[in-house]
Amino acid sequence: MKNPLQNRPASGRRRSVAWLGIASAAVVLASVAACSSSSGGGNAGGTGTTASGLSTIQLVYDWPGVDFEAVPIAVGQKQGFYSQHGIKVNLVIPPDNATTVKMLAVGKGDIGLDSTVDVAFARAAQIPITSIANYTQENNWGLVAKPGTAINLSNLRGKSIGVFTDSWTKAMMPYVLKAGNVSASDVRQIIFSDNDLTPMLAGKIDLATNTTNYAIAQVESATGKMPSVKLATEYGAPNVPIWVWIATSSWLSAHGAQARAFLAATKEAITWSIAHPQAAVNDFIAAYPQNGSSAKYNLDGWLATIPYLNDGYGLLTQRASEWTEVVNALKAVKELSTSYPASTYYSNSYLGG
Amino acid sequence: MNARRFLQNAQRVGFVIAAIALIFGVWNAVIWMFGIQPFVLPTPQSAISAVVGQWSTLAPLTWQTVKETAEGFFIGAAIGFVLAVVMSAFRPVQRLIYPALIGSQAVPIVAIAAPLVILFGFGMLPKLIIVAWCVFFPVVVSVLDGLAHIDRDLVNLSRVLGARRVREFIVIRLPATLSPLFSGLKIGATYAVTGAVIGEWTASSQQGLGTFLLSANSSLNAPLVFGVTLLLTAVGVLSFLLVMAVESVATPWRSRSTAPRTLRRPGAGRLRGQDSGGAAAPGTLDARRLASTGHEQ
Repeated sequence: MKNPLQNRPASGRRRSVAWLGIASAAVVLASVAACSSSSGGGNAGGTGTTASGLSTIQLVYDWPGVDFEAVPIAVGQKQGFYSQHGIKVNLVIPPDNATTVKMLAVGKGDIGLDSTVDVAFARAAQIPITSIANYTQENNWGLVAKPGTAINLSNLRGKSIGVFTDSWTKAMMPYVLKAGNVSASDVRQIIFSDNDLTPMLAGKIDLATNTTNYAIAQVESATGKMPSVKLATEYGAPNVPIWVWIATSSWLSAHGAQARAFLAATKEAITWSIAHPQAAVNDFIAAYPQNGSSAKYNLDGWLATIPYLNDGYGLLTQRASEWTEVVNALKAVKELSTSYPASTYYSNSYLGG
Repeated sequence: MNARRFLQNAQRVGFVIAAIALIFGVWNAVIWMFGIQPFVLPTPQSAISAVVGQWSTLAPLTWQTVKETAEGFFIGAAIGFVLAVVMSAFRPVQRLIYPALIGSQAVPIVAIAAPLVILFGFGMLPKLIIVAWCVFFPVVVSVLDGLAHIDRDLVNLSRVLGARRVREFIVIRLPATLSPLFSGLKIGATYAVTGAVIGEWTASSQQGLGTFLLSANSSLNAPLVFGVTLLLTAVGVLSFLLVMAVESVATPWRSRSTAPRTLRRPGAGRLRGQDSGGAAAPGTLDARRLASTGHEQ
């Protein structure tokens, strides 16, 4: 017996399919329009004013989960540094670690914490992002091994090394390989998207790559011991900051005073957090109890971050050379083809006196 | 007749092209209507152009992901089918395992990915486990459903005719599982690609499209991100079409009222569920096949 639908006139079926197509397109367009209108098409709250007269700043974080790098933000909120400068800071968590720039560019945030390389990529993609201050001042990326295991670069051949898909790792790995006098095919690079320290501790890979503050926090929490670390700067990598505070040129033009207030308050919050690490971490845990990490992890991580916040140039202060070095490192590994003068990427003019 | 078939096929291809054009048209219209910037949503043209421009890099990565998808799919399908048959044959086993199977699908794969890597290393195995994990469940459910709806009269008749359980399974139960099996396989084929990408995201000694997607995303290369996403979509759609093609060969009664000439046997008589000497549809009984067991009574 034939399918009764097969007996329907062909023209009728064609009409049905055509109507189905038109209806589908209409539903898609209506959904997008509804989403667009419900989100307001602008800032998620935007730089508004609270009932108490504070200007609200939407701060977009660099990672899809809040962690100890947000300690100064929590301190700024809890200890009143932000309110003293007339601002209220709302921390916004992005969906992944590559969306902070995009959220700022479409007005879904005001200021962001992001990696230095993302600013270079944003400029190459014609996204008008400016770095307004450094968060850390130095490059604390390196090779990590189990506690008590010496890292010998002359023994890299045949070793398995955990690497991430981010551009910072890609820019730094050539320095590792060059220092070990090996090529990429001489080592086994295992690609991770989130965590290479647990497999390293489990003995599944010989070496992990990470920044020291996260490596120390994780390994200390897991083993109670410090991991072995060999910083990339020890074997020729540029000593440039990894994280910076960013904003769009248009937001900065319209809200320069808020940017200055934010950086001034954040500077005070960082100074306070360095002087009172335990109290600062307590403030962080109270402000963000959903951070998902133990108090020890957060304290270890914050203590490991402190040494990289101030390198003699002063908290938050940027320098032209760091941008030149970052862009050159990315161009060397063909991650970037376009570069601009260093002054295009950053501005210290929001740091105040 | 051939001309008519050609026209029908041309019409089908035309609808596929029209569907793709509709999707790309809506995509472009959304970008134009809402002024979406290219770093948020690039045009499909720029996404395809990015893939074409990097094809020499993407080709081996695509092959790697296709391999993970295909191998994991076959493993998942085989495990799902065997599980369903065993569960159907032994009710206590079904009652014991079925809740666990449902629970297995509620587990976020990302959460078990890290332990899988620690246990099984960074090669293909953890990826295959993740793909199989995505595929086996729709197969189990579909096949179980098929086995639960077999005509009891046919089973009783086969027993009256003296068929052993193995023969009964081959002649009655197995053909009856084919249609639901392919329903499960079609769902599994599309899930398999997602499983392969998640597998690559856990840890890989070899890069595939999943890890490349992350690299492109971290470089803010939106056209390439969407291009690779289109490529992954194409792999999923092709997997689905491949299963459909196999289905049309394996279950001819679903698309034709008569069996192809090559399958007909001279002198074959009409039996229940047959039109003119073709293969019996599932759930119908071919007495000659049962008789060949030598247990006809």
